[in-house]
Amino acid sequence: MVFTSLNFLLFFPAVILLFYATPIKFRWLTLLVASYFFYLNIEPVFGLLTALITVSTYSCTRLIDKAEEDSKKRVFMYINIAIVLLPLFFFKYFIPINEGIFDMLEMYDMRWGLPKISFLLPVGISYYTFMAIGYTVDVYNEEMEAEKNIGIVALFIAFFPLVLSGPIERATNMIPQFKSGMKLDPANFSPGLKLMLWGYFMKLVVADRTAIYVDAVYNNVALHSGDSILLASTLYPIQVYADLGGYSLIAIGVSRILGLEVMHNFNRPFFATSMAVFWRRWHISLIKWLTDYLYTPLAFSFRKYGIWGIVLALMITFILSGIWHGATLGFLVWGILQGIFLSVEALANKRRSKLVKRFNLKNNFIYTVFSIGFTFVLFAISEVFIRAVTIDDSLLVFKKILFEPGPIFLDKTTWAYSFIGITILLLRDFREEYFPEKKQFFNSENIIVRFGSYLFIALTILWIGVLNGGQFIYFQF
Amino acid sequence: MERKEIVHKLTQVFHKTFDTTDLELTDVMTANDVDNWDSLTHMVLIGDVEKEFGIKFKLKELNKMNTVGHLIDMVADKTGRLQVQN
Amino acid sequence: MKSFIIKVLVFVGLFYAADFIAGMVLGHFYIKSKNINLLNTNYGFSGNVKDDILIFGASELSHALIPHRITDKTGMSTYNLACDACSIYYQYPMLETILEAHVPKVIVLSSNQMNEESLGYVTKLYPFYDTNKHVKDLVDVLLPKEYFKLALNGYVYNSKLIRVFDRSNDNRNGYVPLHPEEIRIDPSDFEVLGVGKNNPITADTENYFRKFVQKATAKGVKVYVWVPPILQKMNGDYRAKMTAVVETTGAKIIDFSKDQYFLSRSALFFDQSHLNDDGAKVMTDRVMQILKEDGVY
Repeated sequence: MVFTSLNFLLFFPAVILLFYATPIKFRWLTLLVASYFFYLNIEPVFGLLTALITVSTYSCTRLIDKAEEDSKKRVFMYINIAIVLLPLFFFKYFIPINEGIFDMLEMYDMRWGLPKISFLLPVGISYYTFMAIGYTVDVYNEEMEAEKNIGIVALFIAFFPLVLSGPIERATNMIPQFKSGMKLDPANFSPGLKLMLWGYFMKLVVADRTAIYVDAVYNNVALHSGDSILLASTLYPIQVYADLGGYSLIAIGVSRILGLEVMHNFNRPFFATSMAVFWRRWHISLIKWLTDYLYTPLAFSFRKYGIWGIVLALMITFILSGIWHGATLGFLVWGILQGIFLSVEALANKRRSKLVKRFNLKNNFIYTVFSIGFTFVLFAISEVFIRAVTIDDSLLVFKKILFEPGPIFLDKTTWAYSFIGITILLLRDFREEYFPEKKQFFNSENIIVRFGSYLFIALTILWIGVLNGGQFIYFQF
Repeated sequence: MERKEIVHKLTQVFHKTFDTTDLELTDVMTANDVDNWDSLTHMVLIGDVEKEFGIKFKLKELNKMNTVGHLIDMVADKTGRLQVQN
Repeated sequence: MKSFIIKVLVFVGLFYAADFIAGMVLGHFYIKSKNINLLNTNYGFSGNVKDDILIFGASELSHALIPHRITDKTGMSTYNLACDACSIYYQYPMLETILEAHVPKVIVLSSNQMNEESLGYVTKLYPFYDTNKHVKDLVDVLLPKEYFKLALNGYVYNSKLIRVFDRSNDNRNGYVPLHPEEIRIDPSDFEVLGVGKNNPITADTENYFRKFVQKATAKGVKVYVWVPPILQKMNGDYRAKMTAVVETTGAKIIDFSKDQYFLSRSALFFDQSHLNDDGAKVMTDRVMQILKEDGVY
């Protein structure tokens, strides 16, 4: 089931009613059943996977707690990480590796008699795998005790708002919430619904509409002019932001209505003035996870090399992050580029701050606009490698943008709707960034403004949102 | 080692790492209070602190280090132990 | 809790009212819209179609046959009802609607209707859901959940807002010329035929395609299934199925897919699957030639 389906709009109120009808002591069980119903609805077999990860994680974390020596604890931690990663590797990387081998053999004129295997990637696997690993490491680090109720662990891994695409939450945040008396507090309804409403707006009005244009151009790069490709490449980061950001907001809003606080995932990324700032605002839950469980241990063990140790840790972290997104060369290049951007920035940091000080640029308008634009361009360049899929196509994109301008292909209505959506989204982000207390709409003191803005956004979704079809692009991740 | 002495030495390390001269350490100071103190420079800082005092941190200990006060305590703890061993 | 429920109810009430009013206003303009994409649909479902020759299909046909050219030569009134990306699910209720009031002499149907699986474009029918029985029947069968969604006007007119007021068009009896000077195709593409689409043909598509042809021939209409010239390899499976369906009905296939006159002249094409205005003139004359041989005029 996806958030944008009619089924979900029936499922969710039903869950709330059931939740409300269950005694507080067993509400976690209602959520667990609902979560499995939600997830099995996509493909029943996938439930085996979450169950396997649950059992393994539960057993290993309990063993870590019971073990006396650190070395034993560590063994159990590594065992669970290996078990949990196994399905991810199998489902995500088996096919590309397998095909790589086939291609290589064929280069040498060898034909393999075996049929090529193909199967569906279990939705959300990358997300709950990371959540399970994080929990295991937290128990090892004594950030929390291992949970004794396997049902709570199962709920943490399969919790329906987060299971498809995050935010990648922490056990330290979620498990205590699941265990505390989950009361249904009407004070949460209104903020939760507001988050959902804005999430649906971002997803259906901005992301899905913009995707139509971006797909039209990118599905046939050879045929389109450099200017069209430039426009599509500029729109693509906005599309991804609206897509995953919107979907995350719906997840956060749904959790909020159930009385659960979930971390935010995007924080107006396109107003970042450097790549380092950008990565504190973009896909926050992923980057925090990577920082805590990958980058920090790496940087810690490389610390004697000073700044170059940091650079090495950054490169490894982002390359792995790229591969986590997808098993293609494009994602690898994407990861390397992020690593390079951040490393160069880290190396140049001292000079940059001196420059800022000397010319008093900190609040300089032009400098800020330039920094924001430059950061966006860097990120947009890296995203080309993801959207264009193959390296050949990516290079063609840059070649055409630079050397083959031409008339812009514009589908009038798609462009108009997309423009309306993007404008509203960016204006709202702009206001939140620079004037957080002024010109409130959803949170206005004035009830007419408040209701008017809900109505406006809800009607916009209904009238110009993409309501038919429209696949969530982060699904296969 | 005296706490005062540690603070004095730490201040020098901070000045070097963050390239400033006008930073005064307080117990409640956190990464948010210092320009350029982010997850990248943090590890450089830790490395520099270790070198300056001749001590080694554990990764687990870093997770608990939330303020400059904690850092001073931990350095005091470690150098104290070193002195006893000597 | 109580005040929250009251607020939700007030919101739902306001939402529904605003949606209802907006729908009424837009519906008024919708029917009268002169938009290139809506004109043909509105005409087809108007109940006033009285033309002798009617043309059904998607873009490959809307840009290929010129009604006034046919009328000038044959004296038979003609309308090209084809519209972009419309599938057989669109054509079928339109045919039923037209046959209620009038039986045309000739129908030209694009064979692509068998290959086009675009259930998504059924949305073009939604403004007629409440008033047209044939549309309602089809939507209820194919997409039963839409019944609930269509209670909201915003869903009925979803993404149609701008189109209604966009009048720029050079539509003449349904024909939309693609200007030769805007050529979008690289002549070298003509040297190698690309691999054609290989959409799986669903039972529903085949079923409605058959019903369309049967319904029209049963009423005594002369039905021509027109196979477009296209610079791609033909999907063999679709071809065989389409031929099998047509053969049982008494309709006639007119095949331009291997017509060397078209396939060797890139100047007649706009892109790989669409003829430009020059191509359309040639195609119209060729089709009229066939009509003449068959004694239609």
